[in-house]
Amino acid sequence: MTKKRPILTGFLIWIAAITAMTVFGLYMTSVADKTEQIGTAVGENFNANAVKQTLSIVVLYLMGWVVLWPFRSRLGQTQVYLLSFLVGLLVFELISSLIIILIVRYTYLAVMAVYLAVVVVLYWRAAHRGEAEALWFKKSEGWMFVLWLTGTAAAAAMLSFVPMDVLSFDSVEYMGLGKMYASQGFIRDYFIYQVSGHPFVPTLINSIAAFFGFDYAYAIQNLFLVMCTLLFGYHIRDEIRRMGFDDRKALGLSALATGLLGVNFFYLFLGICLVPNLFAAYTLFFAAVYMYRYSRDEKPADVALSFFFMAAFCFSRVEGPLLAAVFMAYFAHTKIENKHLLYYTGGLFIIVALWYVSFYIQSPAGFNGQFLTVGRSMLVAAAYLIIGLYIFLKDKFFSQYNRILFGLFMGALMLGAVGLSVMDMGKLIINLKAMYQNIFYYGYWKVTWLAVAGFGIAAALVSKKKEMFLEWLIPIFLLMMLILFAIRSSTLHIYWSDSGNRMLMHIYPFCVFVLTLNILSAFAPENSKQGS
Amino acid sequence: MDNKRKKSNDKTGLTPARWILAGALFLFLLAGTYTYVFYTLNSAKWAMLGVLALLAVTAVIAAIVMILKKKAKLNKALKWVLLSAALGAVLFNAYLLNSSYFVPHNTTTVFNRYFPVSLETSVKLQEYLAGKTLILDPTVTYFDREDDQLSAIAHSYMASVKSSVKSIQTLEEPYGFLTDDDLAFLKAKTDEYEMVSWDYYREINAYFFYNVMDSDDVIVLWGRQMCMFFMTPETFAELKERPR
Repeated sequence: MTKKRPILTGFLIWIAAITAMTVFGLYMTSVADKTEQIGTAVGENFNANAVKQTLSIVVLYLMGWVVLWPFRSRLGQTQVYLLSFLVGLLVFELISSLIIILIVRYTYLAVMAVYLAVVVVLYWRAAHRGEAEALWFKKSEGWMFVLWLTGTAAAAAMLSFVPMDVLSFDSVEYMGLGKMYASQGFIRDYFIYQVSGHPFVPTLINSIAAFFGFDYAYAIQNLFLVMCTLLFGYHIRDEIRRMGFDDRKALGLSALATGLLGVNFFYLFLGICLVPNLFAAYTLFFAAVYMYRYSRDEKPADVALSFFFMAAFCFSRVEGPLLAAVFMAYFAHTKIENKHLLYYTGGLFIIVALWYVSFYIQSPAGFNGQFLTVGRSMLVAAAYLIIGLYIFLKDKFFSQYNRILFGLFMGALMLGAVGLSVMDMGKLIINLKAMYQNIFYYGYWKVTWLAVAGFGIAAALVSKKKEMFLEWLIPIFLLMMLILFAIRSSTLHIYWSDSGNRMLMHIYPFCVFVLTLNILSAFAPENSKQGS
Repeated sequence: MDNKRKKSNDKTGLTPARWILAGALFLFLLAGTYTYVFYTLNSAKWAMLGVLALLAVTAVIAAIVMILKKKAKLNKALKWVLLSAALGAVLFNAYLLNSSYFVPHNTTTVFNRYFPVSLETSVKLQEYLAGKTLILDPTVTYFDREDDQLSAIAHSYMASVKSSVKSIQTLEEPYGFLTDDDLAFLKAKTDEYEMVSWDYYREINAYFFYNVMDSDDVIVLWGRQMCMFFMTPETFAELKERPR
């Protein structure tokens, strides 16, 4: 039986962590003070802005925690607390998107009313299932709640008061759009301002800023990065423990892998400076990881979380729904039960169809976005129907040919990527050249992709991992990148701001996750036992 | 994919697919090393030496692997080598984050200093446009649909210079996007402009300033290749006089 850590020790660790964060925050603020950098992006009243932003983070955290509370026995308390802020933020944003899509006036009260309805439904369902008791606090859970809440509030305060207020052109655009939704109540003005189909998820954090009365939601996006990194670490630790490593080794190895991800310049840069990439990369990553967990453990909570993150991914970049459709096609060839996949695909189809229909009802006549054109929207929506039909037919008649069908799916994807690319060879050459130069020099990735290649060789040669659920997502995503770049009108270009760099960011957490687990599988105690 | 990895019958237990993947990644590593060293040190000679060094290290590793395999100590050694490599990668990346490598400009705010290019460009824009009246073409103001990326960039840099300019106005009569002829005309006036750019590749995100230092009013237009043009009313008049 494992020895439980006394609550006092945990409390002291927490106090130490909060003190360290506060000291770090004060130091950073004093450095920034000397260089007169404070407040360059956060408005005139820096302190009031920072306090309001801290409060908004606490509210979002509590919103997520309330939603997740009935599921804590299935998810585990640590995961609930790590997910709380992410779920709170994304729930706020998905409800906001729904309100805007349904052409209801977008206000803070409207969002909270829908949120309340969602909570009532969730708790009613839990009570209906005979889990009413589980909804109440146990004494031992009270301390955990207090510690996590104070810890998150301290991190929120530090991130709000430390002026990580770097503006990127995306952030400025998103700031303007988000505030416009909040003040106008609808997306009408979006069509005057919008420049390339800015998606909702990154934009709406600035609606939150407007609702809570502060200027620029930099701390919200920075905390999103922090919590995603911690959740990444949680999942990798969980996987390592499942391999048979003891808790201490699992903690050390997961810290190493999380460090590999977290100290990368470009990871921090995109996380802090270019909001959409952070949202797209992590919503996609968690959607896939929870699907992977579901395929293994078949816990409904995992597929629900996967769906939640995938829906958020659809709103985190304009090409999101298309990418999600291709991932659904891939999932159709895994061992996930097809009935659940049909619900999943159907749910995404409803969301996407609703969004596209509403978009064109609200947009002025003749409006066409860079990606959001009527033709493309119809194609994407149709893709969901075709994939749904494919899942149904495959399950009914062709399940024994899964391997062949998967080969055909990959072949079709390759054919699509090559076919679309060769239609404009000049553009393809520029794209490949720019991407290559960015990976190895201009994109500020520095040694990242060299390290991925080095560890990739080791992983390929030593791995004893038996399934490749997540591994396949990397080449599928790379092929989709080629397809998207062929479809888009502009070419890639060198330097950090390039969209190729940003899309590569989407698979970087996948690469670290996959390589770590593949390499560790060779040294896992369970494999050693089998080998001996 | 839920299929199990195929086992081969050779001594290594590795499938051909895994050898091919490892080989492809090795070629990627070689090419990357060459490129990385070439651009970092601006020398083909050093880049070639880097590749040779990598090949030599690979040969040494292969020899050590063979010896350890014979002595059945491979697993333990490999474990420590990979752990050290991972730790080394973390430390090296952390070093790069904190080194002056990413601090080409003189600002000490910890996170701001990682983003030299946009700040540098902002500083340049502010320097050129301080105290002047900007007169924007309406396409700049209202983000016309023809060039999405440019409008985003324009908006952000306009936002960054707002505090330093005297005022921002809009041209009464829109000029619109610069045509190829306009661009050729403007680019021919190389003796009159200074270009501030973060990316010279295909002239993307470039900023051309036409003698604006001595003028109170600055006209702002843009071209299709994500270039912004800042010019005096006189240069703008010359441009307009030409048939479009």
